[in-house]
Amino acid sequence: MKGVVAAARLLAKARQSAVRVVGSYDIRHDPEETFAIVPMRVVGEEIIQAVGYGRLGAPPQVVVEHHALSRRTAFLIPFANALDEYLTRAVDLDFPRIYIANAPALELLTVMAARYENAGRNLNPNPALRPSHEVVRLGYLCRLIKDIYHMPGQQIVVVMTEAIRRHFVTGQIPPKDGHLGALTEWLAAVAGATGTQARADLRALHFPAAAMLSREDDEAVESILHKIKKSKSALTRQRLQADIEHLQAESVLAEWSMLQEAHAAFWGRDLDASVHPDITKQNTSWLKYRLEVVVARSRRAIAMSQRYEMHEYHAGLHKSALIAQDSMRFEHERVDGNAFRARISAVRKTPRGVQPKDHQIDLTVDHQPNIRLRLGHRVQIVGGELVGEVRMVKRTPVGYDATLSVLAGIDSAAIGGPHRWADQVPGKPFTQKYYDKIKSVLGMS
Amino acid sequence: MQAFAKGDDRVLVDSPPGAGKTYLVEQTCARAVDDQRWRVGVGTNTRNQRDDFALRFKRRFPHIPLQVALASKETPSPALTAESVPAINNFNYLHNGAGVVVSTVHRHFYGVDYIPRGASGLYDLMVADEAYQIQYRNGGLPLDALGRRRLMVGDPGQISPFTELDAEIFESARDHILWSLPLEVMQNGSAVHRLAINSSRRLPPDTVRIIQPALYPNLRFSAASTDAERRIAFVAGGGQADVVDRALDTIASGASIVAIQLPDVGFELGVDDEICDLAVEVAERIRLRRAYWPHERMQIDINTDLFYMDSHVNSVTKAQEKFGSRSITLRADTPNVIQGQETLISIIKHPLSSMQEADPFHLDPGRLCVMLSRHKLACVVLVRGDISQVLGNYEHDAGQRLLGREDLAWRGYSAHQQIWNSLLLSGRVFV
Repeated sequence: MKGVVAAARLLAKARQSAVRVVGSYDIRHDPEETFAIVPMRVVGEEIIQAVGYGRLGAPPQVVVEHHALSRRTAFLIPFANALDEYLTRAVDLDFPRIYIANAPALELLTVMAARYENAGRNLNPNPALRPSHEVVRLGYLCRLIKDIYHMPGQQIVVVMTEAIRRHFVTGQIPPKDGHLGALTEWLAAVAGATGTQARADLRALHFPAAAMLSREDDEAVESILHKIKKSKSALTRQRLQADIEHLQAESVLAEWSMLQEAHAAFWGRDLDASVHPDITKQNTSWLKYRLEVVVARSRRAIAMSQRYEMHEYHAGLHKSALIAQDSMRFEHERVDGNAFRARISAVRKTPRGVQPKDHQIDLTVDHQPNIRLRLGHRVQIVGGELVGEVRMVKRTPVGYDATLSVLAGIDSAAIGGPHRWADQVPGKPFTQKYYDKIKSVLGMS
Repeated sequence: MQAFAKGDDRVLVDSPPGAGKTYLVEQTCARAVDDQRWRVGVGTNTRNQRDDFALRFKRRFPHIPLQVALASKETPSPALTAESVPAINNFNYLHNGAGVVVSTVHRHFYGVDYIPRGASGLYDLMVADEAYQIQYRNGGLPLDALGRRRLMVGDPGQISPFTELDAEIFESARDHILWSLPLEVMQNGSAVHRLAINSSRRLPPDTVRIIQPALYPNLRFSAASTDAERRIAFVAGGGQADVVDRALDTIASGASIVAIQLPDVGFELGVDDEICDLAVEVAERIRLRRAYWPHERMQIDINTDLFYMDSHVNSVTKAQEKFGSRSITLRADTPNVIQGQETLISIIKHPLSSMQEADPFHLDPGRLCVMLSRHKLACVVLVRGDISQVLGNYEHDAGQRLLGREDLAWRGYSAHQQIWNSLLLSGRVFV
């Protein structure tokens, strides 16, 4: 994949337009209603000073706090309520979809999650600084967003820069891809366009890529805050405060429009639609339960193991679904040695009544420079039922000969091909029953 | 067994490479069954390890009841069938009474459902073989839930378990389910009786002198053999007198690890054809010069007594092709696959070969350790570029690791530096 990306980058640079490296989206198209969050932090501090939120495609609601270092949080209440309402509504419809502009914005939500959720547990002795229950709930919701984002194959939280980078490669140096505006320039440009690089650089110059105000706006806010401190007139302070809020709102609106533009450019490209709704359903029901019941963060081995099992299962399911629907992704896996093409050259079924059953098939595998086919490795026909474990593998002048012990799908085994093969789709994780049993054995229930 | 008799219920045995871990586990199982009439569960990390253990145990202790618990639809491997090792697909068919049940730790998990009502476990003793390769999530829970007593045996220097998934949320939790089993057991405050084996049967003394201080600073061990016992001799002289011959002559003079260095090309090579060719050349030269092991009066066969190791699969595939084209059928693979195996001579591509900048993957101390600890007689390290320079230019990012997590990259960097310096200072790097 590394080589493919390098070649695509050269091509993109020559064309002055982003080049797709996959054939299909890895996330489903938007549900009817989406929700976007554009947070802005104070430069140099992990403190939020403004948030834009609402439906993409419409003007956002903007809430701001002119003096964010005061640790006042009441300005977040409308945002907290709107997010809660959206999630509660969306889990009952199809599935929720939350757009976030870039990784630093997600990071900021993660910080908010820890800060406000903890603030609800460890009350500040100063009642004026205690967050309202809505803000504590916002911390909880942000934690759910962060948790979902880490789930493999999840379809709910989309960090726009990351989503674009999973599908397209630009002609600029990779660190510049962290800037949503610059990325969008490359994505929106048609092949053969001129000056894409220059336009992208210009956008990166004016807007930071880190969910914060531009340097000029930040310095202006600082200077106005200084004036507020010195001012003795309430009216002047009010006017200056409005000036800061205007600057903050303007920055949010600029980032919001960048996100909208990126969203349109991303979904406007000619990739195939993603299928595979299973994980979405599971993510949605996971979220629905946690919206109804506040679930504490898992920290202990049993809960974490259960969660890891689920992640592992979803990762395998998601990967195999993508390989099955997208031949470009299959080729990437093939280059990395995780997939191959092979014909079935012989099928040997164990006669009825003979035990133990050991159905075997022989494969003639096409040559490829890199292959992970070893004894004990379990492989499956992409999108098919036939699963086998490698019993023998031998290099030949034109590729490999391999013998598989068939673990499943022997009825579908027939001489012919070529078929596409990849790692076995993982089995379902342990059920709750096993973990409950372990808890009871260990005296933890 | 004495520790268990005294009432300890968790024992950890740290072992250097080639110290006889599996032998220790076999003996413990046999004693537990013969003397105590215990039912023993043995958990391995992989199915191959499970089958290897079962076959060895069956041959050594044919009188002890043994069962291999396979996955529900798995058929026994031909080797298990050939040696009539009883295999079960369902824990319903577990034999009653004393005996040994071998399975992967993951499969043992299903045994939880078969713990009799009111019993405190399924086994009197639960053993985790190669425990440092097992993640806590796979081994910790079955060990605690299934065994009334637990024995963990492993090599702390091997490649740590890894995950391809986003590990941040798991690493930042209170319990570290992705850590290796013994590390997490000790970290979470469980009482563990810790023992250590202090000698390696496999490694030559010269190798121990090089790798022990660098890779096992907390596990002092020596070699069970003498230098003379592990000396290689060559019947034919080195007619070509090139770097390969000089390296082999140095081996014959008693150095068990030598390095051959190719010039830097100024960029990182994913697949280094020249290194692959050199590996073939070294193997050919060992054959040509008719290497033998005087102490055992044994001729060395390059097809069966040599390993080739490289950190990358694509590079290994290329090497396999090159060996194949010269009708050499030695085992070539990545250290992740080869760990646990041993050979007489290993040829390895240095993990930092052709690297312009060192990174945590290539600095991993486990990978280096596996590569430098498979041989009984000698190891030839092939490298492109100046490792001293790569290590000298390395800028360590101390903030990269998560708080509380061991800084593996730094440990690897220190080990790399120590080992490479030791080779340089003793004149074993041939350019």
